[in-house]
Amino acid sequence: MRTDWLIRRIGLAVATWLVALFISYILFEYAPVNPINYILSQLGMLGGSGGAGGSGPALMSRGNYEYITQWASAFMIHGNPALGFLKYLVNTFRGDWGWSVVYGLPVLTLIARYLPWTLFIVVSANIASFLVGVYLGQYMAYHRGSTGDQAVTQFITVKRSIPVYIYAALLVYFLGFEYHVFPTHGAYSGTPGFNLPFITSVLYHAALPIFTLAFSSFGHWALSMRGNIISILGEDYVNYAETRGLPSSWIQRRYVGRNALLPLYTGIIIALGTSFGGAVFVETVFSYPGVGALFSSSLGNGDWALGMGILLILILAVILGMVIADLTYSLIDPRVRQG
Amino acid sequence: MMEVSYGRVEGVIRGIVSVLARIWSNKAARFGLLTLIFYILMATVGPLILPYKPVIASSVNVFQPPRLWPPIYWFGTDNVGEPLLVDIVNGAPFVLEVSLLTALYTTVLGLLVGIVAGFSGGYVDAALSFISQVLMTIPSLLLVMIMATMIHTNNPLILSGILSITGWTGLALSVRSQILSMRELPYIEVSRVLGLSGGYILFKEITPKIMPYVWINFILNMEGAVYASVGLYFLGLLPFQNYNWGALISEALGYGAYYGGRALPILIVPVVFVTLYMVALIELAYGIDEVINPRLRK
Repeated sequence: MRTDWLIRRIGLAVATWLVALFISYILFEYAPVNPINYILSQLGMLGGSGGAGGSGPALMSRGNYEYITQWASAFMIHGNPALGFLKYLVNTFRGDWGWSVVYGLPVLTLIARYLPWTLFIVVSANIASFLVGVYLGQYMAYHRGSTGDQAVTQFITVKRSIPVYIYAALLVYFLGFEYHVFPTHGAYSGTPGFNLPFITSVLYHAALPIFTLAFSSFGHWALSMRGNIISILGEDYVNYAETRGLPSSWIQRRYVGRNALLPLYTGIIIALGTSFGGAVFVETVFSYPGVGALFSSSLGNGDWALGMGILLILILAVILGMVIADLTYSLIDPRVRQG
Repeated sequence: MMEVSYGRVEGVIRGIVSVLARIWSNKAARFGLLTLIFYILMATVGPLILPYKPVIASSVNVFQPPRLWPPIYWFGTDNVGEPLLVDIVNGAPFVLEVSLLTALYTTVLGLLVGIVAGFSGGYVDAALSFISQVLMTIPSLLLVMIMATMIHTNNPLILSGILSITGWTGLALSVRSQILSMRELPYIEVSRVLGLSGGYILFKEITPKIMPYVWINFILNMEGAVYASVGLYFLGLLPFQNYNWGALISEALGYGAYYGGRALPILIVPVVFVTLYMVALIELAYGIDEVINPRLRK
């Protein structure tokens, strides 16, 4: 029963990955704007506006244009789509994710350089927002109906509806440009090394991005925790524990808190996936050298191999996270261990 | 025959009025509804009164601070000397069109997929559920960003199509599970035994039950579309429009780095307009939820 379920989950993960690769292949192969056109438009060789789907050669003679297209076609794999996709799959598994036309480097090299920064801010932001949300939700549930609870609920409702890039824009404008409290770009100052000044400068640079991401997402945890606790409070075993005269702090932690946390566990991975979307905005606004900022700049430059590579790596991160969450769920919930 | 159809129309109107009255009685929903009406007026009438005509760039008129008179200068001027109020008003139709269209597309698609999956079962159901699950796993915002940048259009009809690629999955899955659970309910079985057609059961028995959820989902998808479309302009990934709200915010950041406080209105005013619109949508959704959901009723 249990192994069946696990096999299905892993099968779904693999299938999701294949679908993601297929979408990326289709987009990449049949993109209306290909990297060759981008390079040509940068060199002023295509007419039209701003590189996007140039209408034809402006500064070049017909012969030269054909020569360039021929030369460029060496880079494109057009032909049998099924065969092309197979080739794409094999290349992806061999670690050949293509080259970035803007940086002139392999996509995986670039991702390896930028990904740690993104993981750093996204993971810390999610931990922070989870802790804040859980404690806030606990407070709200035990004071439900009070002015405090209503005020926090209303605050979260409004806060959640505001996009993360608006928080980022306001913070970078006021704390960065106006009052110079926090840095407006980069991940550190000085030379990297394992010493105190470097670590503090990393934390100093990451403070606003982490805060922005955490602030924009803690409301979800608070509201779910509040709802879970309220529904558990009516359970028989909680009433029984109260009748036995157990201290209420003990009941809150051991009886209610643990069970209220369980449903949130698998939500963490989904939240991680959403945070990657938010990280694109936050890193771009704070000029933070993570894959999010790299993603938006690669899209702006028509550097599809790089953009697609980042999308694929983030999808892979979410899929792996889901599988890990499924595998470890039995560790925290004894009820699913036998079955 | 005439009388029957007349009675039906009257009944529909009475139903709509009673729903509106219930929505009106809820404070959050009333706030959302009024704000939404204000935005719709701004997007429809606004551009007729204050058409966008790029002025000849003059260094005298740029970054003017807000002043009280004439009213067109209430928000000051932007980087090319155009009054910011004109920018805001002309940026409104795009935001409203994209959000409405995206919500429409996702709702229709989600309903269709959910109903087909729920009723047909078997392989169709499995395939549709698989697609929904896959699309829910993929960080949809990033996929949408790539596609929108590739297609690179200002056209709300096309852009909304791109933005709704992943938004329909939640609705489809919940409609499907609703139908699956309702199929076994006694009164649906009775209708089936009575020989009523599948269409009758769908529209008369099942649709009224899922409509509240569909409406809330519609509004939430409107909000998601604003988030994505303004965000795309904010990142500069769509064809540039000087009066787009997202483009204005991102420009203000660029100017803020150089000019400091003079660019402040260009940041604050679009931020307030985007925020107010999204808060209004959310309040409306929660308000409707409170009105319809008996568990939340006070």
